[in-house]
Amino acid sequence: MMTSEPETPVVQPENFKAAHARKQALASQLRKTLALADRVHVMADGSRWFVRFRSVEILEHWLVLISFTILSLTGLMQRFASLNIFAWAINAVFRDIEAVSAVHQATAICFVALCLFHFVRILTVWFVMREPGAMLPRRGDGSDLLKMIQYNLGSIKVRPLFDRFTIEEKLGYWALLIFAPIMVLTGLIQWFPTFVTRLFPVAVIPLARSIHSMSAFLAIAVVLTWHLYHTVFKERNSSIFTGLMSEQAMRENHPLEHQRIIAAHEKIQTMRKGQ
Amino acid sequence: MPEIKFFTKNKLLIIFLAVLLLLGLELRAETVRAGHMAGSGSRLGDIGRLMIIPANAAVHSSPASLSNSNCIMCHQYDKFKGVTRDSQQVSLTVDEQGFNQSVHGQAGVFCVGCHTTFTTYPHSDVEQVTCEQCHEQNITVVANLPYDNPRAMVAHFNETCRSCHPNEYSANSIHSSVAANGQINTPLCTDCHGGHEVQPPADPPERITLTCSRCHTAVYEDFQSNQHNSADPLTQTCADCHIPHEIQAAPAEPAATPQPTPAEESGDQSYLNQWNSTCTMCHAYPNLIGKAEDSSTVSLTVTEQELSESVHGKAGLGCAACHPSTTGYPHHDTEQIACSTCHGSANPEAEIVANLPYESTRALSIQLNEACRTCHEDQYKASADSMHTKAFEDGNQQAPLCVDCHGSHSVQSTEGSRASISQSCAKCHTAAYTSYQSSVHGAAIEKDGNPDAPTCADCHGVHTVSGPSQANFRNESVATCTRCHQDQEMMSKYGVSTGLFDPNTDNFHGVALSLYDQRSSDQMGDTPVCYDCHGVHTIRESADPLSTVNSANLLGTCQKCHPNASSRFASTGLSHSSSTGAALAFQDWIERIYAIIIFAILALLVVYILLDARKRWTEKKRLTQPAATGK
Repeated sequence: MMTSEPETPVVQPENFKAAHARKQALASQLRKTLALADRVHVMADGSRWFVRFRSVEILEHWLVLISFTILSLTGLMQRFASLNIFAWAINAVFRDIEAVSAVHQATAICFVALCLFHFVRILTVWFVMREPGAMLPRRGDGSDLLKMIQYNLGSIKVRPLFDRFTIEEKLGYWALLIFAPIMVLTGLIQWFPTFVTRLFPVAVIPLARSIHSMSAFLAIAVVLTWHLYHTVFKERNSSIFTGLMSEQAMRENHPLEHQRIIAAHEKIQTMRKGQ
Repeated sequence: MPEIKFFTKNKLLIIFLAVLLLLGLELRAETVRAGHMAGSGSRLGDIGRLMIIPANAAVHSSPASLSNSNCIMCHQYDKFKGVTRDSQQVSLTVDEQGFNQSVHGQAGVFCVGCHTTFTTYPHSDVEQVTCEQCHEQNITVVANLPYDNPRAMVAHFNETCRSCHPNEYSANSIHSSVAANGQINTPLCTDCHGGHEVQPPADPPERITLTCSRCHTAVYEDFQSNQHNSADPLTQTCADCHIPHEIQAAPAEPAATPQPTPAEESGDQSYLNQWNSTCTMCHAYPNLIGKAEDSSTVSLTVTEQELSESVHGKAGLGCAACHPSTTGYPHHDTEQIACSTCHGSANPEAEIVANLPYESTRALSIQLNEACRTCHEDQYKASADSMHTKAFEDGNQQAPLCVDCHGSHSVQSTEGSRASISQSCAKCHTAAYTSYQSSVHGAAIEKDGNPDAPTCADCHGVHTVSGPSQANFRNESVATCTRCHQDQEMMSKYGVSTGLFDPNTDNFHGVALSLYDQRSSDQMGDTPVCYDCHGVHTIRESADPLSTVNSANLLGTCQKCHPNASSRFASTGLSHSSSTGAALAFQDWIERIYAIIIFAILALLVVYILLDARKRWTEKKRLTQPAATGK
């Protein structure tokens, strides 16, 4: 839908700056519209697929998936080393619990590096690119969660409409974001006990150990229940691996984003027809 | 033709009989020889009688005037003396009764059977004694004898023994060879067997020993004092080792030397108790020394007392049990020692050195060590993987054998004397033993003989002995310590907590340790075990200021592995799970609160998921139902 923009035959010098800014804004908006419109792919049979994740996001997910799995397994092995299955695994695969520890620490380094990379990237997405519907918490999140619960309980009939991320996805993401520094901190305390005890009482070491293992327990539980429920059990959502989402799923889960993409798409289409 | 009829019927018969007679004589002589060799006194008498009468028929059947009664007429006179050229008097009186009871008398041998040159009277070259000298004057009658001295006379008659007993004479015997060298006092036949009163030599057996004892007084005393003679029936008389007539300087292959009789049926080990007194005849000598090829020496002295007080002795085992191949004398592989080497010396404790055909005395021990295996196969097998055996296999000849720890002839049971276990280790492991003695374990056992306190073998194993250079020792060491230190009953006696170490509890060292139990590899773990902090042999109570885990020394102990450790690092029991006090309470509270938060979050998430799932399920049903009814 084109806004009715009046023709400006004569450019007033005092209005030049404003006109330039307006043009810039228009161009920027057009670029964004084009980018949005690019996110819809029309197949030969007329069905439409939406690009949900970029390659860098898919890669990040893969790396988190791998490192998290390794950290979980090696962590559990160390924590419950006396269990027969873990004791067997340690002795058969790693030969020594020291080796398990070494693998855990090496993976942790990769994990921290990944976290830092993601942190830098997400800041640009949020504050430089200013992508709409980002993971940043916003005012409506609380009421969204409440409405979702009310809807599930049956007290309201209409589901709240979500943008790029549902409230469940936001919760999962922020849980990970808070969990990661706790794990890194408590992990480092255990890694360098002699240094830590120069600054803090010795009790922080066993404390860090129990917090580390309890947090890990929570994280693993969240991934296995919350995350898997919302992405695998609820509906087969493979967009984090393929990057694509069907129109029906898009409309159902991300109606606001869907609407925005379709709008951009149609705008570009009409612009092309007008030419 | 008269010439052809030279062999008449009668002549042929006489020749045939003569040939038969000669053959018979020869056969009988053979029989007697065999019988005599058998050595039985009573049988000898019987056979002798059979032999002598027909063989020497001419000697005592004619002339009638030379019958015994003729000789006895004069020789029964109790003051009848002969005097030799060196003016020594010899009694010429013969006890007729004694002679008749002798072997010869019983066999019917006449005087002239032996005194072959005295067939007439007056005897040739002997001065005649007048009738009156005896019958009227009743004085001592002295006849001049044609001999240089009394021994020469005995030697003269000695030759006549050989005419009937040719095989009993051995020129090789020590008695004969000494006699041949001109030693006139060496024994002749009659010196042992007697002259006119000759009796069966071994009836009773003591006669043999008594006979020898007439000259070998010292040996006889020795024999009587049980050094030689004991309950062993095989060595009751001298002749059992020193074969009569063939007596060598030392018994060559003594008739009585027992041969081992290895059991034909397995399980029969009765032969194991053999030989003791035979062996100790020589081996009791206090200064018997074996010398190997490399000039190393070993005492070969074994006293029967030592052996009888050992475990083996009490179990009735004899020398043969461990030395089954040492049969006979000289031993199959050792140099022969002459009896006179020991018995002839003026110094009863003179050193006697036997050369041993071994590279070293150690080589001898190594070979003998195999004998332990005969009965102690289990222990032998158990030791096959031990450090000691490994060291030995790596070429260390000094690595301990069975006997190095247990002793050889004096082997004792360890029961009732636990301290002796560690003391036997101390023979080589001096430094470790000194440390151990000052430890809480060593002190308890050395001072009080505490049966709970561990000896070396309780931690290192007995035959499977291992040490910290072996992975399995390190990996199993925690189990070794906890065997006692988690025994509540035992630890309560000493006020030691059994909860101090639980490998499954939440502590850094413990987790790795718990895995050692399940590891069967020979990989050496580098995670600290009990003794890395508490010390190895020097383990002391933590209250002891010398203890490595005493609060004064704990930091240094931690810094062995954690070089940057601060005093705060060492301040509380991180290594043991049982940290106490305010720190524990604070930590406990934080942990509890955190746990509550975490479980609350998890519970909310799960509730949310369940609500969501229920909603979706009802939605789906609501959507599909109209479609179904519409159809």
